[in-house]
Amino acid sequence: MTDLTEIGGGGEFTASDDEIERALEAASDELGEPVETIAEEVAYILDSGTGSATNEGVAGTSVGANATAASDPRLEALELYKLNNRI
Amino acid sequence: MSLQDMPVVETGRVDMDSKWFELYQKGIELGTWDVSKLVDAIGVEEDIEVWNSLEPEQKEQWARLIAAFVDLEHAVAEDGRRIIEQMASPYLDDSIEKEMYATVFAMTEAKHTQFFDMYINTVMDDVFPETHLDIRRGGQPLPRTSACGMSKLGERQGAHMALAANNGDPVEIARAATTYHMMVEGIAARGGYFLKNNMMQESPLPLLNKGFQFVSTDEGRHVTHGLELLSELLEKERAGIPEYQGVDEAIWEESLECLPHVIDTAYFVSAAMDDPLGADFDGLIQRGMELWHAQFKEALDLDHYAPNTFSQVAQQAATEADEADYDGRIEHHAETYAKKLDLDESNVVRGGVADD
Repeated sequence: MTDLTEIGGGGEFTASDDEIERALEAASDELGEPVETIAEEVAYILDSGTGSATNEGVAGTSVGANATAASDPRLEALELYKLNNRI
Repeated sequence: MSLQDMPVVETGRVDMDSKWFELYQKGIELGTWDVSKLVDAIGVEEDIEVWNSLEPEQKEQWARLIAAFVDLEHAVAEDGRRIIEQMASPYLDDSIEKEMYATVFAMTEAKHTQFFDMYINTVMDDVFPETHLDIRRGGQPLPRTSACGMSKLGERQGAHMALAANNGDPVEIARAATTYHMMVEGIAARGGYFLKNNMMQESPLPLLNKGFQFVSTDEGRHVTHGLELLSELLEKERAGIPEYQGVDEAIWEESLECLPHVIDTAYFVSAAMDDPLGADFDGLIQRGMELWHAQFKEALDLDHYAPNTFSQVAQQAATEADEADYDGRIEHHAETYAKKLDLDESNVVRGGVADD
């Protein structure tokens, strides 16, 4: 599994690692799931497990569609995971 | 109950350490989103408002992109049973994990069809006045799909999927997987995401964007599936097993057959109409080249891989695309589409939002 801070291709990272960690902890409180589980799922959304299939449908998307994601594909993917749990 | 007292979960027939089981499990965790609940959660009103504010040429650019997704998702959804049959091929080790994964795969393709069908009939209905023909039931693709290379890709994919499902031959499976998972999903669809990312900056459509994000997350697993499947076939070819000889060559040949159709589609959506939403054909070609190299050289390490082939084929295809009369083609296919609607009502699939 690719580490969440090492994914590349298809989108630029703009958030700091601290911001990512805080967002994961907030999601953990919200969803009642361990931070590690959420981080793994978010990484999987971004690289589909191979490291060569980077999901630019998510990773490249930042402008206009989700004001809370601050343009970072990892936060965008986290928002998607949270929505996935709701629907 | 303490952790020590909890029973250990075991399986007998299902190998939970298999890569295919992981793909299946991720499909369960991430691929069961509900289109209706997505619409409820995001809403469609903002998309309709933005859509109604767009200029005709901007709507036309979105219509060209989305038509390709509508028809290809529909075509692959109808190939769902063939994926399951293909995965049951004796040349793929009679793996229950592969067949389990294929069921989730087929479900996601059906859901993508539902999403795009809902979207064009709810938001984009002014540029898609008729959408009901079914290509597998005497119909034809939407006029914009027929006007570009995407319809040719769909035809190749359907033909190879049928052959692979019917005889289960490793070389046929390699051709089908190359067309479907490497070229349609791995290059064309990901190229489509590149275009929509740029177009969204000029005209943000939140429900469409969120739907694309879920679709592309599912498709990421499908590309992984394609790479795993082809790697497995290549490994057996390289081990000298007679039935698998020719896999490497078939993958390379098929990728080269498909590439001009992908380039033609990209040109049709962007450069052919002066790119009003900034989709960026040149940027897409650069990204396509990276994806091509990542799939066929880095991941599969094909013996037949030849450097610079992508740029040569892309250049030739773009030159031909530059001379194409796409507007004339759309007009022609719109006429035949209308005739089919008039001539044979049995071809018309009725139901859903359009008829409410």
